[in-house]
Amino acid sequence: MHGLVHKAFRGFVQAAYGPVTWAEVMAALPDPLAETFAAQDPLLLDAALAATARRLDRPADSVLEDFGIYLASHPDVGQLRRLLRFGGEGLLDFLISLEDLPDRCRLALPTLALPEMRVDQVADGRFLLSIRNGPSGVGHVMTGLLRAMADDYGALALLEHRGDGHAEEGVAIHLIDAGHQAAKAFQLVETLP
Amino acid sequence: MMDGGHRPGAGLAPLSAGALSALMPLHLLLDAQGQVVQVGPTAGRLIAPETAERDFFRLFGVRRLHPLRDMTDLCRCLGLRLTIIRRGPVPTRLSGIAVPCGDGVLINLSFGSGLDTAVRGLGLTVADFAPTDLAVDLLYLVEAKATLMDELGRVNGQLFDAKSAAETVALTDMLTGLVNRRGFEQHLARCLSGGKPFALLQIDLDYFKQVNDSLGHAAGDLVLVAAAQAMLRATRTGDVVARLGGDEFAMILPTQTDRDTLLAIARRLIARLEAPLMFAGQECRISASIGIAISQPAEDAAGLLARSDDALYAAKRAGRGRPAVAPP
Repeated sequence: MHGLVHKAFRGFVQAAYGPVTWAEVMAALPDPLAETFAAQDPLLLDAALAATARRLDRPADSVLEDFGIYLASHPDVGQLRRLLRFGGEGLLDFLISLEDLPDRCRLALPTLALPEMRVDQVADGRFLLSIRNGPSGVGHVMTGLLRAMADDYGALALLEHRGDGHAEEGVAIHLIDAGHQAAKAFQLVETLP
Repeated sequence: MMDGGHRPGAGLAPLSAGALSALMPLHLLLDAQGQVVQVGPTAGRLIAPETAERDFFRLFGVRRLHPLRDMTDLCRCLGLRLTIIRRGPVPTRLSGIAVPCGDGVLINLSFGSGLDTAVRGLGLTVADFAPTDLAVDLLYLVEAKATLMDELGRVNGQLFDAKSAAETVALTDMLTGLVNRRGFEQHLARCLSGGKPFALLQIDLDYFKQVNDSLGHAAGDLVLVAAAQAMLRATRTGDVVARLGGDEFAMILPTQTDRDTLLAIARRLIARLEAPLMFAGQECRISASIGIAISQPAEDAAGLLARSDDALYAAKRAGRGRPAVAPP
């Protein structure tokens, strides 16, 4: 997995469960985790995730979902939430923009390969995000990320992970009210301090 | 080329095909049946020159949350963002927007985030984009960012190398290249926490002071380097040889715990160290005393070091140039 993902996961565990927990997770690993720019061993994130889940005595899936929420909502990675908000004016536009996300991401960081994503409307107000060839568990991360983004857009939506962790994973989205609450503030260009 | 071949039906905006192409080189004009009747010059690059196909929905796949298969589907999504995929051996993803135009539909396309791939695949140049299109500025930005990222990555790599080198230096004896006292202490702690029995050898060079005093520091340094090499030759991969300071050395043998084998190794090493060395036409002769201790269960570093130290002094008292093993 990309070093940036490792860094984000470290930030997540430190922010959500405390630096001591992270130190304990690291102590359970053979090697220290990645530096920001280097592409790293794909097994490392799996090992860190397993160690975190063990340490917290929680299923890895639910840790991954919290990781997704962290990515889209925590002030430490606020820049990422801004980039996601470039997806569109409302949650529906944002869902559609997920199909462009891997390409956009590739333009910014060619070494970070996001899996292919497709969004289909399956019924009125019901959508399915399908993720192909992603790392195992990516659907749980996206479930958490969409949960946080629905909140960001002020939308009321029910989200449910789909798939069994194999080649294709997904998220079922039931958009109940796109304008349930006021969306959090977002401007294309940040106001200078 | 289809460019300007047919004139679309009545009600077309009062723009010539040329004007439309200048403003929007990536436009397509469809009639009410979905046949392509006019193509902007860059959009034309998306259609294979040899094809006679004019059905827009056969040339392109169109999606917005589900596939749009005909003009009825398309007309439900006028004014909205569409995903348009050029069919063919190398599919190209584009963004599009469709608006009514006469009896048909006018579609404008953009390469969106797939811009770099499309530019490469289609061999596009600056002339293929309208001067108002930000595509070229985007390519510039991507290029500039990649250059900066490369540079940052390189600096990062150099810092990482420097950090590793500094760490190595901090644990290495500069004269002999052996592990220094700090490194030795780390190795010793690791072996003790490993829980498996191992052997610790403390080695003092005998008569080193005489060489140093009579022939000078350069001769002394030569003797130390030669002694370090002799010790390295006497050990195996996984063993640790350290210079603790002055003429004091130590070895950690993680797999040797047999008393007689250890004595044999120590005697062989002493014999090698006693081989005379020439310095500026003068012969330098040294020997060594070695104290051996085999780690005991639950023993700490201080206890183990004290026992090997006792054995070393026993060897010296017994006349130097020999090993001694500490009792457990």
